[in-house]
Amino acid sequence: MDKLGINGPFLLAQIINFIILYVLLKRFVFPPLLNMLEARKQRIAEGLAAADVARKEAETERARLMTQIEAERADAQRRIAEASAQAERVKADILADARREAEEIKARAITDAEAEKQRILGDAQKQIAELAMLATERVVRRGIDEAVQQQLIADFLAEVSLN
Amino acid sequence: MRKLFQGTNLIILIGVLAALLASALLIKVPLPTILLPAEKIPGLSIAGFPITNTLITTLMADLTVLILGFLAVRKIKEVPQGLQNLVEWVFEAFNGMLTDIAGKQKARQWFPMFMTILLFLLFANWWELVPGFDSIGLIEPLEVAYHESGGTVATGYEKGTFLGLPSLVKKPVALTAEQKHKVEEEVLAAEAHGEAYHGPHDEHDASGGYVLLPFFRAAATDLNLPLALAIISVVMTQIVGMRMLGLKYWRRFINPVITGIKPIDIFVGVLEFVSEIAKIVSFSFRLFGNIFAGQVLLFVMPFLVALIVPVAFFGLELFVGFMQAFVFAILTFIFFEQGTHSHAGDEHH
Amino acid sequence: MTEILAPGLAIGLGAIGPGIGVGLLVMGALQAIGRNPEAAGEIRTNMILGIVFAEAIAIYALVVALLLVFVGAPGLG
Repeated sequence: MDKLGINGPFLLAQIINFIILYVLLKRFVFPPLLNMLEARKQRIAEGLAAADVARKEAETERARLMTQIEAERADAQRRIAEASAQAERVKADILADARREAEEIKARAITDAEAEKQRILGDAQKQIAELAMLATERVVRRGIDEAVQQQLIADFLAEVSLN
Repeated sequence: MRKLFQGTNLIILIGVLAALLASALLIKVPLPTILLPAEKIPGLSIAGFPITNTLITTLMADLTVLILGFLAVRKIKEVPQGLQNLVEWVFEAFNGMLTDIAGKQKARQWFPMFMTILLFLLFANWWELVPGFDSIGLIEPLEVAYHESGGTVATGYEKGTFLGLPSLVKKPVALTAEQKHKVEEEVLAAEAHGEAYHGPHDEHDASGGYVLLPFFRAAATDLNLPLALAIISVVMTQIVGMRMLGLKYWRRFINPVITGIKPIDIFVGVLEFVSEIAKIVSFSFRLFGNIFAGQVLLFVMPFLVALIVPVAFFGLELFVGFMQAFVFAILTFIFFEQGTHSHAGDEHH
Repeated sequence: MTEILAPGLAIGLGAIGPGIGVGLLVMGALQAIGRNPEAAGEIRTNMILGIVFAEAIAIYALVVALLLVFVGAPGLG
């Protein structure tokens, strides 16, 4: 044993040395490092889980927004259609109004013209009657009683108006 | 590859070959004394307890591990930096491996033992590769070495200088039978006076040979260290098994009456017991043999060719040093794991 | 002469068997890993264990060789 170098005190010294080293390392070095590794692993796992949750949330949010946008687009479409329909209606109304007004103006103008014509015709009859009386008086040179005179005028006028 | 023997490559190649030749011819490195027991350093003792060079290197390995460990945890941060990063990477890798072998709970529990053995042996082995190991020390007269080694060392070298420093030169000297006899007589005379032997009295009688007593020698080349670790490993296996399985653990060696004592059970129990003892031997000699052989290799290579060639063997020893540390640690772990398997007979996987 | 020859023979002959054994073990393990890479961890562990048992024989030879070199054998002088 001695020639192989195995020696009680040295062996004991080595055993004690290793135990001291083991205790020191186990006490002061390994726990913080292992705990740190563990904590980091946990944090990474948590972070990944959180990222997963966030991703899912974002996805649902996106889907929600997409449907919202879709709805709004449909709404806008509908509104545009409505507005154009309304405009169409307004246009038709305005056109109808204008047409009616024009009709009215035209009708009024026609009645006015008719009245003027009647008035002028009346005036003309009276004047013609007077002229005829005058002419007749001159032709007859005699007085005719009033009744005959009136008869004659009326006949004449009838004749004239018939023409 | 086509241009391997052209231009600068050719010049480098020739230079290397010339350096090899010159170193082999000009720089003559003596072969250090290969000695099994660690050398006691004269004049150095703690409470009358002599200090050997391997004890010094054991302490150096301890300090290296402790300093690195404490530096790594000194400013421990969530985002690791520098040393902490490296240490964490190593821990993570080995922790994962142990978890593969024994599961999370056991891995966590035995990780400190595994890592302490691994780191301690790693630095104990790698310190050997630092220049100055096995080459700086005291130059002792051959006669003293002969006495100290109990007659194993009988050849030495002449003393000379190298680059102005005292050193051994490659001129071997061997003790003759007369000189050996004289040493023994002088030792007896010194002991009769209650003194230690300090070499031959006058220079005329001296053999003129000297031996280097290195201050630093790889810790695992002293059988005490591997043996100490092997004993710790095997004893811890029993303790760990006891703690986890209780008294059932001992069924490994003594099969209980419940199973019905068959002769084969007794035989298996004895075999298990013998294998536990054999484990100590194989554990310690595996480490010792590998590192000691590596040391001898690193002695012989510079002895043959002083330059360049030994570099390759330093690389080899770097690998061997790690491998032996790893094997020692992982085997301890595997034996822990096996020791805590239930031996009730139904659990075999 | 015997003092030089004995340890040489002890480690030299003693290393043949374990050498072959370790070679076979690693061959088997590598083939197994090649066939079933998922089980690499377990195979590696068992391979190391097997190597250890094979290597133990070489270690006993080494112990004998070392004893012969440094302690000497009774009767060999």
